[in-house]
Amino acid sequence: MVHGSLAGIQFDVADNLELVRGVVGFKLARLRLATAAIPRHRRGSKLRALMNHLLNRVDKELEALAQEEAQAVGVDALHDVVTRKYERLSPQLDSLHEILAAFRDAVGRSDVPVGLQHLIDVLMETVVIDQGDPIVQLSAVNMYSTIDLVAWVDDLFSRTGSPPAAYSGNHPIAFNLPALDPQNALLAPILAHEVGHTAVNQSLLRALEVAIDPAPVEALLAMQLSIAGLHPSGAEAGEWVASFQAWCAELICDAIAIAVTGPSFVLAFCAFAPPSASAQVGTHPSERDRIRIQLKQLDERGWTPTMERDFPSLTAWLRDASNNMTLTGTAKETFLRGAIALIENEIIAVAEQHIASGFDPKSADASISAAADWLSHGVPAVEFEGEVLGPWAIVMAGWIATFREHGDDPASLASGVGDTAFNAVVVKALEMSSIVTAWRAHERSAS
Amino acid sequence: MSVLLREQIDALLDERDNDKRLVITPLLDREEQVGPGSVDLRLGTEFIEVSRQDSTSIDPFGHHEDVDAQQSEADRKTYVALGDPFILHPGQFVLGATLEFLVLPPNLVGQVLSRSSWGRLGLLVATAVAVQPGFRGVLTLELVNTGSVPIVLRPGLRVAQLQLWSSDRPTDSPYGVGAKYSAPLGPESNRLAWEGRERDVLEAITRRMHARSADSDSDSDTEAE
Repeated sequence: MVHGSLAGIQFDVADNLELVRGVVGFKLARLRLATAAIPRHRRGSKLRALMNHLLNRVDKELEALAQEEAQAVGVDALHDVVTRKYERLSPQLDSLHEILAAFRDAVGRSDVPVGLQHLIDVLMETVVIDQGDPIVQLSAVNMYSTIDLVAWVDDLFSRTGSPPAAYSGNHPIAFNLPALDPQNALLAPILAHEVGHTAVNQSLLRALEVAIDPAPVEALLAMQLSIAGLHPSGAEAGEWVASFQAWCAELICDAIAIAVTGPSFVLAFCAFAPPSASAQVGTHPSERDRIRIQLKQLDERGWTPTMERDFPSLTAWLRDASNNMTLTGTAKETFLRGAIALIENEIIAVAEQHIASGFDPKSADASISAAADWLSHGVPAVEFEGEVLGPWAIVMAGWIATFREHGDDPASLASGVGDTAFNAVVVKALEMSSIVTAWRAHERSAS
Repeated sequence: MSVLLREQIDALLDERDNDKRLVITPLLDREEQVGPGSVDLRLGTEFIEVSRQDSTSIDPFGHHEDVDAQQSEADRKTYVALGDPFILHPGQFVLGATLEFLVLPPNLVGQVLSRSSWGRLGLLVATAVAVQPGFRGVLTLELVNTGSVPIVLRPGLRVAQLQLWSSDRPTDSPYGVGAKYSAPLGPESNRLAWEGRERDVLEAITRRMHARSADSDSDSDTEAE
């Protein structure tokens, strides 16, 4: 029996220190075993490094607790404090169990085509700050998304009152692909948006805050709050600001995806989330505003002539779909959409500055057309006149082949995405591109 | 019908008319791969292994829906990046594919042979696999380690040779004319069971042959006496 007091209340509890210490011990041992089983030197193996870092930290805490325990012998109050400290370790270990169980089987997975693995590697190099180590996960829940596992650990730890991971190595980043359709090459540009979230959380949202003049946005907020009869420091005002930040994050990710993949993103975006007239102001900006800003960025990057040449009707339809129709007509909508319009140039600029080498219309225009011809005949050719097409040029060629086959029409977006056999050809072309690019680079360096 | 030599192969690879052109893509090292009388082909990135513990037997006489289901359940597809190892153990059989995607014009026939240097290590890659005029796709390779030590295979290695034979006139019925994107992009499992008409003929013959000696009630009565 341990005698103690909490907030002035005296209590007696059964001595469970050894039990709690034992539970922590077996949980830790189980995690060590599972971590040791993660393959080394494979795609996603940084999960092992992250877990070892965190488990070593737990080991140090246990060493310190053992010393405290020795000093607490015979002192009930100290004894109870030590027990409670052991208890606090348990949920931390449960958090690690959650992450390990979710991702360990996906490390070094060999059931994803090489072309798709290459595409993910390219995104890691292009978008993620200091790069990252991808874990490809076939997800039933998250469709297309990415999760920085270090950020996830921090989030889980913060709920249990544990300190952040403080992990300085290469971040393991989970790439969630739709489990039933992971090989959809034409939708792959969505991945560029999703991996953008990692960079946004790393630094780009802060970069946007620095880049914009806050005064006009704050004035618009004050005016619309006043119209809505809301107090500027009330909970709803805070929710409006949180929505504004979430919209900014989405739009930076869109701009990253446009810079990296070109027009393929707006096409994949419309196939994935068709623009609708549904009147909602939610966590994401309306598809109409997103398409408008995407078209603006594409125009600034010089893509409009290509789009008007290769899919003129669809380009006209995209312009129609991006018209500025009112959704709900509420003060919140007026603030959010108005504020975004005020800073959209800065949003695009922040994304463009982040992407060192984007995809632009000068990149192999003639070769893209030739690749589209071959793809439309089911042949994954990627090298033309000594020039090797990169992955996003191939996806672009895939879209152009789709329009040649199914017509320059919005419905063709669904036809292309839904054509499993054709997407398999494009995925094969992505593989060929990675192989030929690596080979030619080696030849150049060897000579 | 004559075998094509290097100069003829080069000319066909450079042919501008797509209907007459020989496509082999990617040709990572054309100078090395196009030999005096054949083209070296590299090992691709996809493999199909048959999981033994999940298989009872494979009966090509089975109804093709059943055989297909049985096959796809037992097949395990593995993707290996260029240069990464895939270890083939003694006695192990897997299906691989060529790295190269081929399109043969309608007047060419091909034959895939193992490269002798691999054969000397005990690796069988292909047993004179025929490639039909008009074929389009990657070629499935039957990989067997007949030696006594494991062999480390790596996608990108040159493992097979393609000999090409030219006919004076193109075939009227080239192989694989059908769905545009039906060309194989990786190794393909057995399709014996799809040859349904022949299966039916063989089954009918077997039934007739066994009818003579099949048990009947009267035979049983005789035995009982």
